[in-house]
Parts: sequence; C-alpha cells; structure tokens
Amino acid sequence: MQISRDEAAQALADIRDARGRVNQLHGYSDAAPFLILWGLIWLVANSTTQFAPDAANMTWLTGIIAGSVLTVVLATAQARQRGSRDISRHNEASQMGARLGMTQGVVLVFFIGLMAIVWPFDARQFNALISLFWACAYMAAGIWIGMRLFWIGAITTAAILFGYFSLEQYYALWMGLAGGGSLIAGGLWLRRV
Amino acid sequence: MEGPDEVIHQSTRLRISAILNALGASELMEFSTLKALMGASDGNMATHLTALEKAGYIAVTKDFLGKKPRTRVALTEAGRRAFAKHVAYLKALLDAQ
Repeated sequence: MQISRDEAAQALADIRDARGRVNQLHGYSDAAPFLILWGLIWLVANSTTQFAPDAANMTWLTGIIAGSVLTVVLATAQARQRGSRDISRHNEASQMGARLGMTQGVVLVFFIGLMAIVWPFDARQFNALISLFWACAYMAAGIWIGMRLFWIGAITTAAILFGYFSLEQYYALWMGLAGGGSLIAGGLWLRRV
Repeated sequence: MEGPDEVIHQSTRLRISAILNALGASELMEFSTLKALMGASDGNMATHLTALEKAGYIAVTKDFLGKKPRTRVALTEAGRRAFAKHVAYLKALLDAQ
C-alpha cells in the first residue's frame, strides 16, 4: 500500500479535525449544566424582582450563594469524572474547587470595585451590568470552546441590551424570561450532539 | 519505517479511530454520538465499525440505559497502539520527503 505525501497530510488534518470535534463535544457537555443552573437562577430571581420586589434581595443573595456552591460542586464532579477516564488528569479534581472558588473571589472583587467606581446606580443598571459581564464571558469562552457557546452569549447579550433600553418597567421580567430562558435553552442545545 | 495500517488508513475508519483515540482510556462513546460526529449513515458506520472490530481495534458494548438499548464503542489497547503507529508513519512520511 502506497500513500502519497498529500494523502498523508490530508490524513493528519482529518485526525486534527476529529480531535477538535471531540474536544468541542466535551467542552459543550461540560458547559451545559452551568448554563442551565444559572439560567434557572436568573429566571427565578428576576421574576421575583418583578413580582415581589420586597423579596428580591434575599432571593438574589440565596440564588447567588447556592449557584456559586453548586458551580464548585459540579465542576469538581466533572474534573473527578475526567480523572477517572484519564489517569494523567486525576489531580484535576482536587485543584478545581480551589481554583473556581478563587475565580469567583476575583469576580466578586471586580464587581465590588465596579460598584464603588460607578456609584450611584439603580438596581436595574447593576443587574444589567452583571448580566452583561456574564453574557460576554460566555461569548469569549465560545471563541475558545465552540461557536454554539458564542451564539448563546451573543443572544443573551442582545436580550439584555434590548430589555435595558426598551423595557424599563418590565426589565426584570424580560431578564427572567429572555435572559434566563436563553441560558436554559442554550444549555439544552449544548447537550445535543 | 513501518508501513501504513491498511485497516485504519481508509478515510472513514481513520476518522472513527481518531475520534475514539481522543477519548480517555476508559471512556466509551455512544454509537449515536459517534455517528453524529462523523455525519455518516447507519449502514456506512456499521460496515466500518465491523472492519475495525474484526481487526481487534475497537470493542463494542451493548447494554441498556433504563429500558433503552445502548451501543457504545471504544478503541482497544491494540487499536490505540495501531493508531499511534499509523500516525507516526504518516508524520515520518511527511518528514522524509
């Protein structure tokens, strides 16, 4: 059996492409539960803000704390699963929780600094800023992981900006349904091959 | 330089092997996922998976997930070794010319 140089180059390119597809598949299946989790938190907390404003602060605080803890738990479980599949990655799980906790701390510092710099602001502005930060983070992650994640971030960004500038009175409801909804739908989309 | 692996080199089987080789050592891939990644028909997939299985390069596991039948495939140790050798051959061929 003879293989030409062109055939060999094409075969190696096919192998790289196949490896890229598997990495993308893993990236999507890893990201999906986080989008669904935070989409549900956005849905519940924003709806509460719209319909029961007195309970909004407590709902957001509970949602953010629960979401942050569940994020660490989910990521650690995923790292543990990767470690059981691949012995060279078995140390990842123990590092994952600490790294994610520290990353959340960095984001918290960013938002505290942002609040201090742009003060005074109203709740709607702050909601839009935080939501926009995460939607753009999904877009940025999508550039590296796969375009589906990019488009989920882009659609969520568009929904946030549309709601902020066009739906002042119903902004929170819009963010619950369109913002949270797009994250949940996006998470379900990522689970599909 | 060792020759090419004739079972693996065929284009569809090469891509199947590359996908399965990118999985972790004990990771299995569902047939439906593999088929979707390949963009191939059931018949085409079955033909090439049978050829790889006959060569001892893949293992096919059939079980049930709840009440739903499930077929999963994985590269065997022999399959991983053959794939690595074939890739080394392709790289050597490019480097040599």
